[in-house]
Amino acid sequence: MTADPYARLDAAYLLGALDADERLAYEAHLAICRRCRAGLAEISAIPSLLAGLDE
Amino acid sequence: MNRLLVAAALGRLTQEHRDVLWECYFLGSSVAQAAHALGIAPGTVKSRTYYAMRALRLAIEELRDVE
Repeated sequence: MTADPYARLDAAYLLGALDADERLAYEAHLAICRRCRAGLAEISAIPSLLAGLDE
Repeated sequence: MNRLLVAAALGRLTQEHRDVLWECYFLGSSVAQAAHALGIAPGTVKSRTYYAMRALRLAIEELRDVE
């Protein structure tokens, strides 16, 4: 359980779908939140795997 | 990583998860654009991509274990 408003933003961030303000706020949050860094790390390999489909 | 494995993993996702990844990854849409295209709230795009990416990761791991 978490009330962290940033906790569900990692995928949209990783996909480059956040607007500039939200992206900057998320990045600032990442610097101080170990849990969100861990969440982002869980899925960080996915975009490069998807990129392989375009080859 | 086997391209076919990733494609098969995508095939295991729900249509909703595939759709949101299609919009935000393959089409490069922003949250707002994807929300408009899919007829859902921006907050739903964010949470749905969150769950879609994890479902995809799980499907890839499961298929890789089978190989």
